[in-house]
Amino acid sequence: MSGIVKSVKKVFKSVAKVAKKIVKSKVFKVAIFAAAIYFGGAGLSALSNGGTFMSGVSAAGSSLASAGTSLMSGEFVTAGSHLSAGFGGTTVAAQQAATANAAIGASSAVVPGAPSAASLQTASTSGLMQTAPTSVGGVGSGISATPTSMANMGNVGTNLGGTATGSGTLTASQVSGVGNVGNALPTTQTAGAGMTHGQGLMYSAGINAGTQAVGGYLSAKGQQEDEEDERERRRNNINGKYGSEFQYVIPSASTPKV
Amino acid sequence: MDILQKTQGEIETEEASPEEEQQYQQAYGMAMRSLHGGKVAKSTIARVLNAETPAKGIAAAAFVLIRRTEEQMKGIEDSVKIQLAEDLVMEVLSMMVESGRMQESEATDELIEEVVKELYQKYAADADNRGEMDPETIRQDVAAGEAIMNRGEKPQGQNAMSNNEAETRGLMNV
Repeated sequence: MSGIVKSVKKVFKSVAKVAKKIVKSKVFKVAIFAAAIYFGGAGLSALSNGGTFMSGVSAAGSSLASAGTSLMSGEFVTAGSHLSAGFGGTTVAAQQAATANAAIGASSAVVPGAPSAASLQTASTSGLMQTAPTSVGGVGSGISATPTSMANMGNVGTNLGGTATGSGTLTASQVSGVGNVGNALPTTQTAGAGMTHGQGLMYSAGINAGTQAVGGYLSAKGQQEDEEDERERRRNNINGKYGSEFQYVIPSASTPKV
Repeated sequence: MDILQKTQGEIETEEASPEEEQQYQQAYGMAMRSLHGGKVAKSTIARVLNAETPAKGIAAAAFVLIRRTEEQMKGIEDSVKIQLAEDLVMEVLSMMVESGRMQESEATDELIEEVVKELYQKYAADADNRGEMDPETIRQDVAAGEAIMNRGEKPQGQNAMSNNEAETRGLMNV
């Protein structure tokens, strides 16, 4: 395993018995030379970082395999140009891994603490509803489950009880199916533990906006009900005076006179 | 293959000494007898065929033969081992082609490169297990390789080290 670079330079007089059908490739010695640099450098870096030689070699092998590239087509050059850093801890494998991570993107699995893609999507699409964080009391579950349709608003109202924080602007279509959310919403909003003053203001604004929206809905609904009542009252008046079988006929010229 | 040609041009060659030449002839004869004697050739083909990839199979076959020869010939030179490894890889590839298990066109530079990669890792793991891994020698190997590839160019950016660091770590001795 030692003296590979020096050994590669040696020219042996061919015994001329090998490669009966295969033309002897010129790549072998260059490849083993490259492997000695690449894997050897990675192994030494692992050693200097408290690991084992083979852990560095294995990591370099995995990195090379996942990169899907050839030593000859780039990794060799990379190895040669980055080996100085290898003794200090920045291995070629580590650099490749970093590159790979950058290519993959900062998913929550790779970067601890980063928001998940799902939560970012929710935040960007749910408008003011995003102001209800999942960490505040039991509010989050109800709201985040129905960020747009509001189909389970009744549940939201239940969850809001006690530590209510957050609501949002509701469109008319979102309000359908709200049911008795107005009764479920508490009259006083209390910021949950751990909220900043700014968050509290935001949540209050959200609640207010939501309350106004719901109030507007209820007002409109009341007006609609009043109109319906008026129509019903008029129908009853007619039926009470002439009977339910009465049909009002518009007089015309062809109607015979009695 | 520009890089390959460039690198080949940068690796200067020198004649092996008469002792090395003699050792090589002996090691080669021993390895070939191992490979073609008895049932080893058949089991070698089977090993290649049953491997996860052809490259891994060929590397495993060559590794077994190299280690066997190493054990039979104590004190074999590294330069001889490398030449022997090259001969064995080519011989195993030839066997696969002649036995109709592989097309000649499959024996590409890329395959050989893959075989070498596997072979190096296999040999390194074995040497490590045997406690014969010498980091200092590998360091010299890597430094020598770097000197050939970079011709002493100091790396830039995050790869750059101060002169003090380089001196401490021995790179200035290249």
